[in-house]
Amino acid sequence: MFSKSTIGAILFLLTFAGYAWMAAEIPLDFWSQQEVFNARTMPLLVAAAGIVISLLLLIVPSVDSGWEEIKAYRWRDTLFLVGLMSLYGLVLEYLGFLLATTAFLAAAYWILGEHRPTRLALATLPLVVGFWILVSSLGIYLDPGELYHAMMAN
Amino acid sequence: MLDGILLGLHTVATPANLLLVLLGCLVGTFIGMLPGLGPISAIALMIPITYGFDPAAGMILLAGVYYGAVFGGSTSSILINAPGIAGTVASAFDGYPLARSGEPGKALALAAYASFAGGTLAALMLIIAAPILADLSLIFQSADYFALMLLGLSLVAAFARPGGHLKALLMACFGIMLSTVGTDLSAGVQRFTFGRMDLMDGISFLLLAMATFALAEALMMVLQPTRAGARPMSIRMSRLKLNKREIKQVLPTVGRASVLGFFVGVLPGAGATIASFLAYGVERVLAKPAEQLRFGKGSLKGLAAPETANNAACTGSFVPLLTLGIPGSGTTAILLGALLAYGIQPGPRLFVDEPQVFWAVIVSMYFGNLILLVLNLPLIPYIARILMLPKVYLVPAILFFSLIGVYLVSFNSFDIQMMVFIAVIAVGLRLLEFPMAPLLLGFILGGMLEDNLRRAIILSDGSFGFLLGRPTTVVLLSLTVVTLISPLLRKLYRGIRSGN
Repeated sequence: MFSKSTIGAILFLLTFAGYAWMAAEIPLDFWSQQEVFNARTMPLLVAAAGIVISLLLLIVPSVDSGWEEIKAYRWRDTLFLVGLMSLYGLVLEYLGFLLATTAFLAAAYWILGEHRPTRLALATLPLVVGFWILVSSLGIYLDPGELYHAMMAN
Repeated sequence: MLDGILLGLHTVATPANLLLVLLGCLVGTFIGMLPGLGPISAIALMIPITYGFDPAAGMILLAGVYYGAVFGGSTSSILINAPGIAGTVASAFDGYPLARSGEPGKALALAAYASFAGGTLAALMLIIAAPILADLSLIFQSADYFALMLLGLSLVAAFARPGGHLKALLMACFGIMLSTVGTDLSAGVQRFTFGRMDLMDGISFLLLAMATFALAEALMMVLQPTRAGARPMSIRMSRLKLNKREIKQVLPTVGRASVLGFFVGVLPGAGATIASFLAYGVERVLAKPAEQLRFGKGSLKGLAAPETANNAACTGSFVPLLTLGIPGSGTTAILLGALLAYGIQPGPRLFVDEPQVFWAVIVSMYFGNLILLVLNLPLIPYIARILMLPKVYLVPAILFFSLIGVYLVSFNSFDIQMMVFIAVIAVGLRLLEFPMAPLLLGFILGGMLEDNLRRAIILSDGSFGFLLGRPTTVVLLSLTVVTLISPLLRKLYRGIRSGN
């Protein structure tokens, strides 16, 4: 199996190669193209440095730890949390801060193993309402959400 | 000068003004602890309240808020690895591991002592050298700034594990790469935005720091149940004090970081973030090989250096503000706005026309530091208890505060998606044993590196002759080369010694 450094070096090599290609495609007007330093210069310099260092990392022997511990990782819970955060970002403006955050926190506690309804409510509601009151008192407006506005309009 | 200090003391040391410093420190600490709300937000929120005050009293309150917010940012950085502001990112490198090793009390106390020492020494330097430094800061040109940024980047070695320099350098390049996303202001063209409006302003530093540190750390706690931070802790709260050996260990660090932080703070545009990273890097480079291994794992020096430097830089940043009217950072730009709102024009004449304001600000900085220390030490045992929360409650809370902290800055839910995406990449890179700190260092320095390189090349008519054109540039570039080859030289030296 490849070492961690080798995998990292290959990923970075591909990333910087793609970055260099995109940098060369940055649109420039005629005058900018005549300049010694334009919008492409820095990205191309960084891409060149990144490619050289990635190649060096591939060549130089690495001192990584092995892959043994990977079997004990809790991938399922982690992936659920990643999905939950992404979902929170999607629904925050629609459901509004109070509703979306309450659902997000309760679901996160649930994923991590807290299934008792009373504890879920006690860990969620005071935090959400307290935070909302706090930021509101600081003059920061958190919109109640599109759903709330739609319901009020009807 | 003595007259000035006495005037400042006379202005500040009234019960009403002391109360204002106390209030400012309290409010600042509280707001600074909330991810996403740093000194800029804290001061901006307080400015309307100060409109009715006389200028000196207003500035006294705002100086207290400034210091309080910086210390509050350190608290969330150390306890939950969620640096609310850029200046406290480096504090998390060793502060968080120290807190996680069961000594959050000691970590917070050291942060408080170091901040106090840095702020005090810098206030002294400000009193003595402000007018001279203001002139010196103007001598620094683009070429020197470029060389300074390169020196900062060369310190990525300080964030690498033994044998991991290439990985650290790659991460720094990755950071610079991310800093190029957005609109190129010189030509007005979009770079790497994929046609998205949300990316036109680039990636925010707070977003990147939160995603790579707070979110990634929380996800790693879940992914690796055996990880040190994944279990609730028994906290040794009795150990708030440092013993004699520890004090002896950190004293030289505090001295060096104060001077470095202050001088970096004086340079317009540099500020607390670069100061804290530089101080951390310098201490790591100067440390003995055995001590170097402790960095990143809860080293006292690794925590004291950035904490001292960021406070010293905060004080240093007042030099160009008060003496030249040039704000050296976002926070001092807000303070400049406040001064203008009070009808005061900062600049060389401030010292002559409004001496009570000039000296009141300087003296209130010292009082602010003192009050922060007195105020925060008794609160540490209570603040630190946050780490005793079981993971099932702590992880969702960290996720929530990180996500909402970034959302509160932009009110754009795209930033939440972006954070999640970057956090996933950060977790992957952590599993492949790539360090995160060089990424942030590269990101911070990337923009400034490009601006100053462009300016220096234009000023030298398209040639790279500027690299050798000024003594300051040459000295800084030489230091960069020495820093880059020092691990190699050290290895060579050890090889020769063991050969004997």
